[in-house]
Amino acid sequence: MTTVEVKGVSVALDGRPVLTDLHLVIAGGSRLGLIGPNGSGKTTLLRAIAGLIPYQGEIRVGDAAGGGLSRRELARRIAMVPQNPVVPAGITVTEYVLLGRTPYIPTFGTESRRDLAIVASVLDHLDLTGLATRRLDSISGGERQRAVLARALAQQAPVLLLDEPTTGLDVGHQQQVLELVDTLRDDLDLTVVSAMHDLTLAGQFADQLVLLDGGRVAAAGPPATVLTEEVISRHYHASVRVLEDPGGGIVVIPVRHVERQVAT
Amino acid sequence: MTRGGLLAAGCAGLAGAALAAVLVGPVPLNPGAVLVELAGRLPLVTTHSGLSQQEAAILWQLRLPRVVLGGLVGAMLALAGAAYQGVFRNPLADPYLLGAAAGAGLGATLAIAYGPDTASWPVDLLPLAAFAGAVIGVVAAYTLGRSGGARTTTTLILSGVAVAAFLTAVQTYLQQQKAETLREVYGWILGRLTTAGWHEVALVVPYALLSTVAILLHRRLIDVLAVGDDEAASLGVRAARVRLVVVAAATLATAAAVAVSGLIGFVGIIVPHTIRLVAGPSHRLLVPLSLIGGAAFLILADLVARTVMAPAELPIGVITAFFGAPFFALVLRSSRQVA
Repeated sequence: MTTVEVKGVSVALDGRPVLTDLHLVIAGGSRLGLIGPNGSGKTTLLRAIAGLIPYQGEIRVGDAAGGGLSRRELARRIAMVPQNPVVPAGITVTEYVLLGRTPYIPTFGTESRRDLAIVASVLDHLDLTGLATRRLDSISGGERQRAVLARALAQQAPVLLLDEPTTGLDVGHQQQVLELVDTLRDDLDLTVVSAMHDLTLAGQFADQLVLLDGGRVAAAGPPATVLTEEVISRHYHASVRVLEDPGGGIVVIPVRHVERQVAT
Repeated sequence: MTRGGLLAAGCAGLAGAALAAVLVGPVPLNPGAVLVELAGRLPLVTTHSGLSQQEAAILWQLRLPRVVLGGLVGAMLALAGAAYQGVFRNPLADPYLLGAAAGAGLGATLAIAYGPDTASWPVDLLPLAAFAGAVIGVVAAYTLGRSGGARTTTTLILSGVAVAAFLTAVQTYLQQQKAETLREVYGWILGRLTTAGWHEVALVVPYALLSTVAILLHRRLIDVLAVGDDEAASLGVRAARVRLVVVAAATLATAAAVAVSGLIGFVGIIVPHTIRLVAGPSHRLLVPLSLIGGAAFLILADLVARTVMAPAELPIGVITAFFGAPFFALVLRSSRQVA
């Protein structure tokens, strides 16, 4: 299991500071939920961890400094599911998932039997075998999200970064995707970091939450300590009610301002 | 059809086109005799074809170099088109996208209108000037596109448009200054293979080999770029570097083709697109099939160009556009239906 350590990381995009002196330890095998209002730096942090943007400070992935690894080595340790994945026209689900083997295929070589076997097992794992020869641009949004996840899993990286993995999915598919990620994390001992907008789902599917605001950690800890009405209204400027679900989870409900005044 | 089947069909089509182009002309040649004569050049084979000395000269000095050069030019243009479309993720990208055509046009105009008399030179100035112009045009577009800060494919394409407009303006000005060379410049711009000889073939072959090898080696990586630079990076691929190498190779291919044949349009667009419809978008098959298909298409186009108005010749660019444009419209229609 691979621990990710973020040590004093700052990122400026176009001269504007987006992350400022961030410190985080993401324990190996844990599920970290990144929450925070729009523009708080969630995506930027994921991109920095994945080595897609330059940063100051240090990010350690397992026993190595991320900055000291080559692109390929980094891609074998960290797989990323972007918020809006590009859907190349005309390629099949299998071809798409095979792209996940890129960090293992020699630069000018071609995929091995082993690569194909791994793709087949990932497709099987995510229940995509029936769609293997379908075109990626012809399947439904939920199926496509599974295909994107399959590509990331084909990377066999111990760290999985998810940027808003439930964007554009209905509530049923949101739950399916997150349950799937959870099962995979158990099966494959993954360290999972997801940026999430839905606070209820974040509370249900993460061990630890980190709330970013203005590029800094505003709150961190188990969901019960982060998801409080006070913290959420301060950082999201939102009126919410936080309820304990009898099942043990936390439910965050947006409420209309008027109604809240009546209630208090 | 399987990969092997498609490649075999392509090769058969190319062989058929080449044979037809060798046989048809003002002096018809006997197909059997030509095959025997060609086989005679293979190592360890001695044959007697029965071609007269004059027929043999027509075959070896006129028809064959022209077919080989046409094939090479077509293969290079289709290869460069497929490569550009892949790395720019833009179906309308063609080999002339980044200022190669405008640069070559300016180089050729300078050579035709202002160049010294090169009759006594060992090499002709025109192809060299066109080659240099094409390379300079692309380098200018690439440099300009990268200096913009945001190094996206869109900025690169836009800077190509700007460079092309500028070079074309200069070229048009020079061309108007020397109105007596207008016809020659215009003829060059439309593209032709009339001057084809083994000399031109030798000029193209090194660049053709180099760019073909480079792009064939990168064909799987071009597929990875289909998910965008960012996702390619998260898969361990340096997209900008792949793009630079592939664009450089495609530019060499384009420049070599332009140098010996002028500006032949549409090959770089219709050939790769047609192959995509048949064989799918993966560059692993698209690149080799574009080489074969481009060669076959241009050999046939040249055959039409030199026979429809015989003994006069049409510029080959007229043929590729005449058949290419309607065909391209058809491809667009059917691809919309597929998508």
